[in-house]
Amino acid sequence: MEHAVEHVTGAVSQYYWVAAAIFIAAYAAIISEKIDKTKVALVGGALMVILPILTQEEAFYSPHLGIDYNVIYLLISMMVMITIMSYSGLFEWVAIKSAQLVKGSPAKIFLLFITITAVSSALLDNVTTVLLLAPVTLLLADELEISPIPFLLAEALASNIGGTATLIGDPPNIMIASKAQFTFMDFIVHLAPVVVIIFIVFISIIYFVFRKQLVVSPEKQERLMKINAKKLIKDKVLAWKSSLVLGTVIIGFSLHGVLHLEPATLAMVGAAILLLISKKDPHHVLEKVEWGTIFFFAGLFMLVGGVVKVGLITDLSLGLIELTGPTKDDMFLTSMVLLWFSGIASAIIDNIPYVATMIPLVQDMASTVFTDGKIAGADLPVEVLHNTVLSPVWWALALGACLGGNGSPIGASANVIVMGMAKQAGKPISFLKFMAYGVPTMTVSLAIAMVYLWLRYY
Amino acid sequence: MKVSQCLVPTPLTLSKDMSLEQLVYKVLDCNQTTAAVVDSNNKLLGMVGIHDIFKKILPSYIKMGTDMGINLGAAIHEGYFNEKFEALKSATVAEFMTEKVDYIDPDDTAIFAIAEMVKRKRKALPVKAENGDFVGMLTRRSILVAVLPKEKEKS
Repeated sequence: MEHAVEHVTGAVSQYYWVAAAIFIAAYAAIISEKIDKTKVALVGGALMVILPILTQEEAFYSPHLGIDYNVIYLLISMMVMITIMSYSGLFEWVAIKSAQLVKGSPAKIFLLFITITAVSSALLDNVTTVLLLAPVTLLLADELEISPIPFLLAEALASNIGGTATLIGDPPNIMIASKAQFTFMDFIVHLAPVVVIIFIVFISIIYFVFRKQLVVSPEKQERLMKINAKKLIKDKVLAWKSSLVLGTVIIGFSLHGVLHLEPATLAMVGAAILLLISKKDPHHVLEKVEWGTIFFFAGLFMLVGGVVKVGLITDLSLGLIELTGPTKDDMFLTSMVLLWFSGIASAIIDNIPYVATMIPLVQDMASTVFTDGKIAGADLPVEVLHNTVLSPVWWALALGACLGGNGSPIGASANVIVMGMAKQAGKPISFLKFMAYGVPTMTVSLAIAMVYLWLRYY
Repeated sequence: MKVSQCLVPTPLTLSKDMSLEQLVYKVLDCNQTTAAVVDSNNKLLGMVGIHDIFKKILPSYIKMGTDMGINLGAAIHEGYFNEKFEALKSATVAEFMTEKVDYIDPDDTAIFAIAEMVKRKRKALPVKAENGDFVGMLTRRSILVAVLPKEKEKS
């Protein structure tokens, strides 16, 4: 709060436009994709500290303005656990066994793989899920001699839907949970039901659209039945160990409110234990961590911290208040505007910087509406953050940002990865082709989310 | 010892229009695993070898699986290689060859060449003159062959 007061009293207002210029330039550079987004975020974050809009103390230690280590360590720890698990070959074994379970029927494999993708995306993260499943999908399509495109498209879309359901499923949810102090179970209770409905509608429509392409001769199906799935399990003991640790961590997530341990702490303990018992070389495991993403987050937190400190976000939140007229008793219009705006914005730009910007904006709006600005947005107590009027706004932000990722090939990292893999396999999916399936999926998903928010909270 | 002193005596050179089938026969006949691709003026265009053929035949998802530490080859049906080879038999060398190749100068020292081979994990390096002409091929074997007679003389 003291920094917001400093802004109002003019102590740091001279930096207002400098911070705004850095922020806008960084956003433009990220959207243009001309420069790697990690470089942009790090340079932008560093400028905020050097100029100095943020002090070093604020950048590294302030829970409100600086790097959010809950997010950073949760991401790193999940990446470490999933990397170790991937060495076992368990995912590939499950995928092949699933295909054999349905006797190699392409239509059933299609339905099963989409479901596996959605569930895995909720429990792991959607990028890892598609990284692990896409190669097996390409293999099965090759063996069945059918196009892999329906499978890959549906898996990318399903991963973004599934990832919406939980705290760890998609980075926007991790960020919202950290700043708005929601638990793993809060996400399950509030988002999982609508995600299940969206998924059922999605899978029905996507199957109907592609059903004619999912037919092959019995001989081709027989080919899949001959695969010795056991050969894909590289390390059976590791498969058990990693399943056990990851399963325990996920159970821990659901109890973290009771345990009084942050998800990042639980994930870090899980990663440490798995590193210890897997006997894997930590250097090799850590090489697989997506450090680009981690440093992108670090830079982004400082970048957003700078514009929060100078008061730009407060001014934007006042604009949101003027536009949607939220009151202490009703934020229906705010929720709806935020849901659709977030959806469309996330289809166009990376949803991570978008949500990083929107979180303090919602906090500041809540500060104005509930405390007349007497308590800074970042200092709002849980009773305010989680009250029945404000909660739907957070869920609208999460639903919009995660589901909006399906609106374009660049809307979510999982889409980018699937597009890249399809191209590598000589089966490129054009930008427009993705949009032809992505935009309707996003629109239907947001429409269902809108009805859900309306019926459940208003 | 200079690179020019330890070249393969009769290096295998191919034209980029040659078919995969012809390439395989040539490679097997000469007992060499890598060949230089040259144009009619003996300019080096690229390199091609058995490794390039295997790379072309292997589906992309094998590489993706390898990146995750898994060999998905275990799930591909037995006849896959034969089918793909048959389908690619008439494809030209131009479709397989590696165009941007590391090469060395004939006046470079052998130890420099060995260091390059170790660093770049190459079994063979083409030797190219300043004007782009293909001079010859340096292999791990040709270097050892070049050094052995001198050792014998000493003993």
